[in-house]
Amino acid sequence: MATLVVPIDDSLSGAVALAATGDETAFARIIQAHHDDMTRVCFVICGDLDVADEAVQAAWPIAWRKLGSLRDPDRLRPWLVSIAANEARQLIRRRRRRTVVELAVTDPAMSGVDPAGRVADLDLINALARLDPDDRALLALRYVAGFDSTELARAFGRSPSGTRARLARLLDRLRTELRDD
Amino acid sequence: MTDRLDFETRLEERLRARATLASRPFDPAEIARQAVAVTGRQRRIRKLEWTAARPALGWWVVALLLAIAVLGAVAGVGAFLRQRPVVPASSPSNGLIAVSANPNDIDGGEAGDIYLVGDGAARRIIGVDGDGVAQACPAFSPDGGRLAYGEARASDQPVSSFRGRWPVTDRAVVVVGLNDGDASVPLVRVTLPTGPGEIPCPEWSPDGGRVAFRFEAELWVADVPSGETTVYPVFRVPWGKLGDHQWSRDGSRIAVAEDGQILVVGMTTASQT
Repeated sequence: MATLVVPIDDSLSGAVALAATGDETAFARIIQAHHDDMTRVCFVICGDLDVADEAVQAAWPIAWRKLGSLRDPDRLRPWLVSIAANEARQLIRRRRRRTVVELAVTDPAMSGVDPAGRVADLDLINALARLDPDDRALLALRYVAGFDSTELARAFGRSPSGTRARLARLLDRLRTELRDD
Repeated sequence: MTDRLDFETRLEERLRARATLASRPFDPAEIARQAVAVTGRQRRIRKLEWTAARPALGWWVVALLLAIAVLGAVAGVGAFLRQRPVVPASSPSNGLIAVSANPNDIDGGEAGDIYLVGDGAARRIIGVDGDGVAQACPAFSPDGGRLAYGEARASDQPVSSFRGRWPVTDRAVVVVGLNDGDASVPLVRVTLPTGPGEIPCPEWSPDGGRVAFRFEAELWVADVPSGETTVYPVFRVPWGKLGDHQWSRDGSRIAVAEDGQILVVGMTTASQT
């Protein structure tokens, strides 16, 4: 399975150290490198780009405040994505957005896609919308951010085996809902 | 199994494709500036919240200290009421002072050994660590050659740390001889009936031939050194208020004090007035 893991380069490692000491420019470089990843994960969790943006905007001050507690700069990306995902989950819970997402006919992102594919996307969106925010976060972190089971376990505060079992159950449920069996 | 893996792969592709829709242009410098500003604002808010909470916290601390002070005062007063004052005895002949160290401690009497104080130094002459016995109310005989005191077992175990609890049991009145400040083996030991109560405090007769002490509703007078004891009924005083008693100058009577009245007991006729 291909993942979006981006190894941190030396210059960004230095940026982490500088940002932890209060260097705002270094922090902007970190934002430049990871803001998109965080937004994508939050979008899958929230199902709404505006809400996803809001979650990521809320995540950055937390990252700025706690950057000094990050002991391993190589874990910067999963650390940042986890913060954003957590903010997205909390935001969704506060807003109680449990409504089924309807795909706009004029959605420019879907233009040019064949009708069958658009229906499949709509089914996926609705299936995601019916899931608990924690389950959506699990899917987003696993398949969009490329977290392995150890990173997932750390993000959710569970054991790796428990996280794998939960993911397996979640896949079975989605498979049934999407009539893919 | 293959179908499941295929589904997982397709799901991943579709989720990623959907995630790519979330790309929007952004200004990292502006986001950084906002993050720094928000963090500073949050810190100021926390500081304000703490400042606002501080008076309330201060009142809680004051209230807590007051509560501790009240409880301490109540406990202290309670302990004071349950204790008798420690009165050292002064020898009429050699200037020595006998004192029972902490005999009335609310936790009992291991600390109640008797010390002799002279020339600025104190030396324990009655009791040893771990004997489990408390001594109190030392009284020099008129000639200074003997010492009478009350004692009781502070606990049922020969321990050094456990002080026992008042009231105590195995009470007795003891008279020892003093030779150059050293206590002899007991000359007289009057054992009281088994039962809890206060340590008896003996008083010497003016001629040094007897000691008298209160025991419940009785006045006991013991001859020294024969140990022969005469018992006179007097008052039953409440616990913690053991009344004083005092010999007359000629040793023929003993005045027994109680709340609001004095009973005079004649030694020759055992009369009461």
